Amino acid sequence: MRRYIVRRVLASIPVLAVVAIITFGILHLTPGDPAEVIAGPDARPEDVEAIRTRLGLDRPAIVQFGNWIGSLAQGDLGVSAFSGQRVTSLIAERIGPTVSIAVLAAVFAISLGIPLGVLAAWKANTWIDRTVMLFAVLGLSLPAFLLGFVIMWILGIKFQLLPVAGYARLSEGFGEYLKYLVLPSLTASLTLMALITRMTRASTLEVLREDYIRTARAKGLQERLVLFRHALRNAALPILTVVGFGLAFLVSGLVIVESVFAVPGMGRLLVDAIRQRDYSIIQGVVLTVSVFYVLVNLTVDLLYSYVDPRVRY
Amino acid sequence: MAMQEAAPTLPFANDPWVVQAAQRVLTFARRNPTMALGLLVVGTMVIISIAAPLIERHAPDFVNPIDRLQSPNRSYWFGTDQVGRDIYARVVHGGRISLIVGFSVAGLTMAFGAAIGLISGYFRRADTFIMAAMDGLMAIPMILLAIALVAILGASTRNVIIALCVVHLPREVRLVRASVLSLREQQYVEAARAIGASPWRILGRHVFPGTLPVLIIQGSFTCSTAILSEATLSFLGAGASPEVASWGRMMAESTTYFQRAPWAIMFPGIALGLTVLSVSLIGDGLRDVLDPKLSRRT
Repeated sequence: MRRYIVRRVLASIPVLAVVAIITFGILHLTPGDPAEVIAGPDARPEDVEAIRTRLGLDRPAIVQFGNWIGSLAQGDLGVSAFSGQRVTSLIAERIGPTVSIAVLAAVFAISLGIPLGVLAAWKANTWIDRTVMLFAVLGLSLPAFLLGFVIMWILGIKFQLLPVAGYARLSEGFGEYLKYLVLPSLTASLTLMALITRMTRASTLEVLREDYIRTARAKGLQERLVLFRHALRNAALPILTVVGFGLAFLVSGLVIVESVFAVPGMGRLLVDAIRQRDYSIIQGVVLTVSVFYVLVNLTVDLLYSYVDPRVRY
Repeated sequence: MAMQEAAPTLPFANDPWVVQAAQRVLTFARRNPTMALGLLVVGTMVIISIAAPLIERHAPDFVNPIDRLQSPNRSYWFGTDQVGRDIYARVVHGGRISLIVGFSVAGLTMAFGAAIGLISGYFRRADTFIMAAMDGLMAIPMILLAIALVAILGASTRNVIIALCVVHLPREVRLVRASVLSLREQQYVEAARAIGASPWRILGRHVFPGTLPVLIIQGSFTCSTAILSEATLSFLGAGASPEVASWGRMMAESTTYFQRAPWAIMFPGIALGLTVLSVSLIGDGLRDVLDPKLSRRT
């Protein structure tokens, strides 16, 4: 077990290295001169030259990459070309809301998706199953921002239950903090929830046909125990896989949701940076999120062998 | 049924070839009802997009401030947006971008995914490098990488297609590679090797056909996610150029007015949802037809 963990952790190092190379390459893929792109179309030649020197763009690519990796190792992601602020401090400011929404969204997706999937499998081919699956299909084919507006309209404007935009820090009180988080998190969770529901239903349905389920029922076990202890535990592996790769949907949901609900998080930071062509912020955000993403996936992988002792690589 | 009743009135209805074709279509539709529905909707969308200039009632870019934010009515079937453009015309034209992006991304990732996947699965040495690159690409969340690429390359339909190809490629490569790994151990591949066939001939004639089901199934899912991603990119302002009507951009522009004019966001949204749903129905259908082993899983 320990050997497996060590091996799995070591295996993610080259992945992170490739991520770093790709992120670095993003700026240098630019068809033109990055300095000119950063300076904008109206810049004077000496301004372009100044930017080139300041960012070290006049040096060979390999030297630039070395410097970039070097500062990266010291936790330095560079400076925003637009505001001159450090990218690390910008990200630090914005990471709170994003992580809060992500965690709550994952909680929503898992705590609603799994029971709904089990329910659909248990009531397979009834109207309950069909309704649940209809919503799952809708969740997967409608864009998150559209669902966001529908939810915002129903819960925020029609019934005025929750605030429709903005963010409250934890220091302003837990209730307030949670109130602002619910709508964005719910929206961000929908795609993942739909995915989890689908996979839970499929995988539970398969398990419910097994002999040991019939045995459990035959010995008079409560249906609840049959479903959650016998069926769900054996159906857990594919569900966990979906949770793992579904986190990508969560990330894309976050970027959109922060725009829709005006949450000052990393997604907004990124979208604003795109508008201002602020490449060091784009690089910084992509890199930070990717590192998180790799780490979360690593955790999910390690959970496999915990949930299902049959899996030992 | 309707087809049989209508048959005698048509001059070519007694042509045995037509009758046979119609029966085949009906049998197919009866066996795969959801896939037939998906094909019907996507087919309709394709026709609408091609015929957009013929069926529009106002020019999609015609700004008419006097008629702005009108609810759906007889002149403007889907209403108008905040500058008085006809939403019906824009929805009809917007389908072009979605479909072009969806189909091109699917086609290109299938072509490149097949080539790279075959090489990666067959040649051990290339495998390490290719898979490291693909794992790295996969580690960056799709939409972030796509946004960053479009931001760097510049906003145009071509660059959106390139960006979405890059982000969808690793999944296609992985699946093709996985099936190559099992196919290369098959006896008929060994037999081909034994009679001295070159690696390229083995890959092209013996291994490649075996990867087709996986390739096509994944391709159809790539198509639906690409359509959705294009809309998301447009929504976030990293999509095709602003002059082109696209569903994502229409929704983005209407967000500020969505309480006053919900139709401005709903109609493009419905068109988008319907298209994505239909493409995934086709994908599910293809999976049932091409890969019966997988069919009962989801």
